[in-house]
Amino acid sequence: MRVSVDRDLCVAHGQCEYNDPDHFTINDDGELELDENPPDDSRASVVRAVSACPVRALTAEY
Amino acid sequence: MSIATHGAAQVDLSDLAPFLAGREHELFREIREHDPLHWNTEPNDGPGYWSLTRYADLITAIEDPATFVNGQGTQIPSRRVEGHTPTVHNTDPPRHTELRKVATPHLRAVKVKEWQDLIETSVSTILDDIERRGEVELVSSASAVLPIQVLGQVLGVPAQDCPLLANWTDRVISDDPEFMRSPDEKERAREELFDYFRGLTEARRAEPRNDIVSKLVAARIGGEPLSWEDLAAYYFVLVGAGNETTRNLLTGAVLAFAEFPGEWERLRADRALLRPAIEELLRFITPIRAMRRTATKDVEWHGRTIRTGDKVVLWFQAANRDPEVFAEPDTLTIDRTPNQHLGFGWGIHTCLGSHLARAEVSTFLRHVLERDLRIVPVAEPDRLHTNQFHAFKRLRVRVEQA
Repeated sequence: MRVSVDRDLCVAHGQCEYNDPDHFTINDDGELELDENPPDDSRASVVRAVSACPVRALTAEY
Repeated sequence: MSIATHGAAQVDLSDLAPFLAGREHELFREIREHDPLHWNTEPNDGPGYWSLTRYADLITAIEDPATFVNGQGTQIPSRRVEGHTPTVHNTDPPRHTELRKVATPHLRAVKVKEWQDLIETSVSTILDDIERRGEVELVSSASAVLPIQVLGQVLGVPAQDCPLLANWTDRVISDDPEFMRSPDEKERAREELFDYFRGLTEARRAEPRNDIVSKLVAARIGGEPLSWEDLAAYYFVLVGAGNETTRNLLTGAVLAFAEFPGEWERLRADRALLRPAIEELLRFITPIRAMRRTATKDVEWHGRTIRTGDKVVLWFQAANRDPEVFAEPDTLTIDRTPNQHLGFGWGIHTCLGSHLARAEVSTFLRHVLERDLRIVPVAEPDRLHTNQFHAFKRLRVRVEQA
């Protein structure tokens, strides 16, 4: 699956990181670092992370 | 017009009596079903306000922050308790985005882990005490203590000054007669808070530490440090929001599990359910019942017209019980999936302290499970006089081995 972030929308609420810390991390500068190609067996947590974004900055394709 | 619709139109969400009796959901159900854009008159010659209660409608309004702005206040009454300089939650983009970015990195999930030891120690001390005493008043013995100790450390307020944080919050947050000893009580509490933090600001400017005050003092927006007014507004919102929310989630959790004891048994049997249980408690309790917006243009909605300048109240507590989104919404279901509740709000103003709140409540409940305690209410809770916060002043409980 592929995950992307709209940097114009993301302000590091960090709800993705809470839901899936293996594939989403907010760094010390408050910027999201993400695994853009997470493995398919992580789909449940990745989808949960994407849908938890309160500003809809994340998109998942699978 | 049906009788039900007529009844819905009569619902008065400024009348605190149903909230104090814990019967607000009867009203929310009525207007959510029959009057989705509900007009409410206001006491004290206020201009009145619209209420939204359907989940989908709240999302629509929240995701249009240019039409429904925060900058004219987020309390239901037409006032801003923080004084002249708006707090981050009473600010709109682009200023809001800049202000928010100053604090966000320091309250993210991995940063919160730095305070985990403190949270564990605080919870242990609290539970040692209430377990020994057996029957206690929960709010003053536990629910209010944990967030204050954690908040003090996060902000950089010495432990001996932490009770001040609670005192200011009590006097600022509501119009509860217990705390409103004079007409200017809020202003006095605000000035006391500002005076205190003026000293702390200078101390941290001279000698920074690993706390939020130091981070805010060092922060730059467009190359410029934050003004004293911006700093003061930030301290104000962090103190209030850090205090009056988690406290009520903890007390509310005890009440919720007393109402649904089977769910507590399921959690005892499978502690992996603690994580979804926290989300369900946030949905079920909704510590912040509502936040207000102000319309910046005329909006046609549900066959009515919101006029420019009208106040629009987003009732998170009602949306979190919307049966269109949550099956059996009045039932606590600790493994509810999915559960995209609005307990932390939604959109650009989503709660800044969500990770800290989750850490505090999950640590508290995990320790209660590990000790295999049961915390049982022995009386009705004493609720805070406010329709905006789902808040408890007192709850007598018995603490016993399960």
